[in-house]
Amino acid sequence: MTSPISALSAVGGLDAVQGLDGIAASTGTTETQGPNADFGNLLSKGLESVQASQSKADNLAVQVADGTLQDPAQYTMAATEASLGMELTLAVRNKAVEAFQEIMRMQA
Amino acid sequence: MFDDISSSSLRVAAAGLAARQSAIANNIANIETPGYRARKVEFEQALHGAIAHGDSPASVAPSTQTSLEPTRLNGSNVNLDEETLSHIDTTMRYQLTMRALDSKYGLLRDAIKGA
Amino acid sequence: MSTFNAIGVAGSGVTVYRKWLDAVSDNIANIDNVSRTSEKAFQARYVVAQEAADGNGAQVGGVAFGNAQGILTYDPQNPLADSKGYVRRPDIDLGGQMSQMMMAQRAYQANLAVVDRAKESYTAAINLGK
Repeated sequence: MTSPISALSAVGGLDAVQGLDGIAASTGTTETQGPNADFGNLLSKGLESVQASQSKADNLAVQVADGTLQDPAQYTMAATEASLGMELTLAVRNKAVEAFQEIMRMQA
Repeated sequence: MFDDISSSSLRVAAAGLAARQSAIANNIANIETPGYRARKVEFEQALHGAIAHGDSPASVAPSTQTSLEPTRLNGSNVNLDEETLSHIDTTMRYQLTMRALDSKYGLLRDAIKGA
Repeated sequence: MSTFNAIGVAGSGVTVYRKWLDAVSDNIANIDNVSRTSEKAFQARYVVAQEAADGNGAQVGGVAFGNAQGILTYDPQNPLADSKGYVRRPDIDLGGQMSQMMMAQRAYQANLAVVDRAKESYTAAINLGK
């Protein structure tokens, strides 16, 4: 299966979010260590960890198939974590894109 | 797109477990049939072997064998305890396998919808 | 059955107790057997239970047989009686066998209950997060 994660980042446009940095500086407020600067980082770390939990769930799925899994709850927990991690990452990315679009509207 | 090791193993397991369900139903139906030999379905060893060798799990097919257990007085060699427990185990493993396939498809679907 | 281990373990217990029940019912069925003094009396069968070889559950380790002498009974009318009028009857006590049957049945049901509850727990594990 092509990894759903790569499908995500291709559509992402995560880099555009970095541009919010410039806006914070021009308003003359004290430069808070913008969470926006690290936002791209956080998001890619999030994607990596979803990728990792997906691999873990896949390995356990192979054990489910050949009957060597010792504890069925391990598989369902791994699958749930992978699924929730994916949903969380999607939600965060969608909010970021919305926020970006909002700001672009203000500038126009 | 659905050819990675875990998806194909799960498909093989689903087929094997379904075959096992039929074999068990057959065995239990024939518990008093003289001369009947219990049927057993095997696929786990073959699947494990294929993965260990790096072959594609898709090449594994479930195989049906005849049980060599001793027969009882009525000429049938079906062991009811074993068949009942095997049935419970097979049913639950089938549910778990379906859950696993469902969650794999769900992840891909989420990525498609979320984009 | 290693994924749902508790079911396999309880299953081995079920088999052991069923064999015990089979032995006890066989003993009770043969409790009035009569044999000649020149032959052995019907011997009671006892099932020896032990822990399974792989550490998972129980297995029947073997069978022990009761007294072959039986009880010499004076019964000259019996067609199998010897010249002195004796026959052999099995040395089996019905009360003892009945109490064994109750124990075997109780243990059998207890193991079935384990299978049931294990099934519920594993089903909860399978449905986690749904």
